[in-house]
Amino acid sequence: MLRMASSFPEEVLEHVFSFIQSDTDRNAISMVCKSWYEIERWCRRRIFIGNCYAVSPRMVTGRFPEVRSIELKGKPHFADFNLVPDGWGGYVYPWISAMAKGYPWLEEIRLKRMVVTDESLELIAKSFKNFKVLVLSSCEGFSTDGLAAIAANCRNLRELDLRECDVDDLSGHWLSHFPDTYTSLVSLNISCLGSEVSISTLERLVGRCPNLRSLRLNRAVPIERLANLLRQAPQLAELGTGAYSAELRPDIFSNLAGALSGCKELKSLSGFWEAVPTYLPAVYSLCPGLTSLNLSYAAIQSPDLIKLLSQCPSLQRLWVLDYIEDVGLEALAASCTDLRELRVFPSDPFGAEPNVSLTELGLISVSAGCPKLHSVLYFCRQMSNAALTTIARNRPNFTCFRLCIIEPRTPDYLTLEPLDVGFGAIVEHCKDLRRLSVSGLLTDRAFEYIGTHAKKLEMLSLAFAGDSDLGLHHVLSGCENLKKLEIRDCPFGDKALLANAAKLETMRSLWMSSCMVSYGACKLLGRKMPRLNVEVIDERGPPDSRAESCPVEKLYIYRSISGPRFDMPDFVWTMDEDSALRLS
Amino acid sequence: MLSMELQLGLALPVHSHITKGFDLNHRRFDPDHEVAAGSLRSKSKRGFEEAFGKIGDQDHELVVPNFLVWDGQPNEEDDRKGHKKRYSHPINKSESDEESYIVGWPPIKSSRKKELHQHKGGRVLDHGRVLDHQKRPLIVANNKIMVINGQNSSSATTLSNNNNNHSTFMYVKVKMEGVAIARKVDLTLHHSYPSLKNALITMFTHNDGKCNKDIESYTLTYQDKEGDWLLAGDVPWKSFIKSVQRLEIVRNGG
Repeated sequence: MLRMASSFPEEVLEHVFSFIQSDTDRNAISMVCKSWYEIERWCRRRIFIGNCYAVSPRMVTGRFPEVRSIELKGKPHFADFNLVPDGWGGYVYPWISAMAKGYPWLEEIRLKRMVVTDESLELIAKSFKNFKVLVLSSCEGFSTDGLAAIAANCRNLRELDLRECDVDDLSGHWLSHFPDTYTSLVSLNISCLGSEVSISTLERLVGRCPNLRSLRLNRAVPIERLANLLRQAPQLAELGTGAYSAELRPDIFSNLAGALSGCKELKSLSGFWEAVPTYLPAVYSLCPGLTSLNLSYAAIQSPDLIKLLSQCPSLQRLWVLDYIEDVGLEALAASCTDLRELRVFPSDPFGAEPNVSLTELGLISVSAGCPKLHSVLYFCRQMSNAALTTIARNRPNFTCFRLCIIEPRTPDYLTLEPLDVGFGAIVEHCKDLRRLSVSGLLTDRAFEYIGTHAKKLEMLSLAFAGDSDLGLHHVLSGCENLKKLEIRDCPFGDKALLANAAKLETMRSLWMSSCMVSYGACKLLGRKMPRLNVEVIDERGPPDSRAESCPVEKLYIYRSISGPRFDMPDFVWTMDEDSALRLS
Repeated sequence: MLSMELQLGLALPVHSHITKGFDLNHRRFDPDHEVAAGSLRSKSKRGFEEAFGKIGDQDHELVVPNFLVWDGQPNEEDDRKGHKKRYSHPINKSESDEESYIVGWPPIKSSRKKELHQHKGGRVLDHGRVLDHQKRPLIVANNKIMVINGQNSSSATTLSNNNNNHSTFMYVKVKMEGVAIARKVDLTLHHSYPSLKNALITMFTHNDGKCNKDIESYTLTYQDKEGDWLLAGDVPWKSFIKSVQRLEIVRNGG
């Protein structure tokens, strides 16, 4: 290998490596030999770090000096559902500050579930001379002032995406900080912002950026102003509307319908807050070309949805509320045979009684009618083993299957049996399954099926399931490719965790809350596994004030090569060797 | 340092060496053993059983060490199929009050919940037709009163100002003592205590022959903004409307 490497000039290898995009392949290359490691590290331009605490910023900038694009993730996924207390961590500032020194030519930052302060945004704005892409996904901690700094300073900014961020929305004025000479915008997503932006500022911005392809507005942009905006940007491929409602006025309607039909390249629509059915026909002219439709904020009832969807033969992705009902999904299956991804969200997740007629039947229809369907997120209130088995047989090509039966521990409604066999069928038939969320009544047997069949599974979410340690043991010992495991309210405890301690090092992270892992086991794990950060999250106070056998509230375990983190709040305790000694 | 940096690729070798000799229950648990044996599942299962003895086959009652039982919570029995299930957090199934929500369940992103909060479906105007609220009630997460902003107020300015409080409907949750299922009632349909009480009692009793339909045998109570439970009727109707969070009907002399 050494001889071969030396027979090529470095430049040739560098050129060859430049064609290799996949992170895993890049990682493999760097392990071949010292010289490949060296060449590879100098020509790596993009880096993905799935957990910002798995490595220190300095290690990254030290090893990869020429990175142009970085993607970083912070808090555990369950933070989306308020299971991670405020102040937990995931601060991006140390990263920005290290990269400001190490990567003056950084062009792209993509962050997920991180705390981004205005200070961080200001540092980005002034540090990176050729900064182009800022994607903040489910981030928090910053205000529109920070966005103003980005707008004012990043002359080459192409993409600003604030999807699902929690922004301290001081005013819509930040948008006017884009200089009049600024024309490079390609994608803008401000859908998460609450405050009104100046429509005329927005119109001018949209009008002077000829490459704008994606525009996702917030609900404060009224429907009667949409037409004019669209006339400024007929080249748009993706549009997120603002509030989609008004008193029915023929002039508003025809103006909007006309503007929309002028956008010949529109493929993706979202927004539709407060949508009224009267205005839906305005988008009909676009339907034949639509590939993506997000109606998950639109309380539109089934008949109107059916009218719309029956005109969308090219649709590949649909997000929708459960108002679509079984009958709507049946129509979807009949008209949208190219569908790849479906998400059905609950309109009334906290109600005791079903408010719509959406059952397992809708999912069966779609699984039968849409041969390319591979990703599903489905909230419903009843399911059966027979239905799951049919779905699995219909669609062995699922890579993502997330089913949420709203009431925890709901059995098969026909037989009152656990749903073990049904989920067993899913993992058995869907050989390429990467992501799975299970719900309903499940015994350890379900996890035996998962451990036996789900060999490619990378992420698994469990809630209110299983009977004993054996359940967790099946998963940890069987799912060879598991990277992320998140568990809540399952009777899994010390034995399964300790017996599979080595497995945890091959995974990115494990979250367990309201389970049965004792504080003693956490300490033991932390002591024996120095490359795992074992963090106990307990808002009741220091865990050593309770018995060792007392279960911890929440546990987050992740591998790290930078050791315990230093920014822990006072409700997080790390179980490293020192602290174990200190506490015992 | 080099080996550390190699790990940065996050392509960690499966089952790293450092766990050798990880001692569990005074038994040697050797994960490398698993890898060597191709059939991971059966082997690792054996490893598990070696470490703990055979537990939890379908036919065997599970023996759980005392310390694993959650806070001495009484185990909820579910004797289906003859094996016991232990619930870490028993859930009161009949209760769907906001207060009894399980944190983070169902798993809906907070951003989406905020949207539900502002959600105004179900009363959408369609050529002047108001959709049926009884059939499709729309609930508001984390908010005890459901206030739906006026869509049918006619000026276009309401569009850009959708947080104004021109409320057309006002739903509050109502429970009746001894009745498992709570209901919601639109208070704007009523203009006095007697009409409200009358309607509620009829609503709760009309399907139930056993229930006493005599209005006098019930008392209407409500929870105000401060969370205190008070007798309905003691304050003027308008003040009541402003303060009421939820209602409960209590049987007299019961």
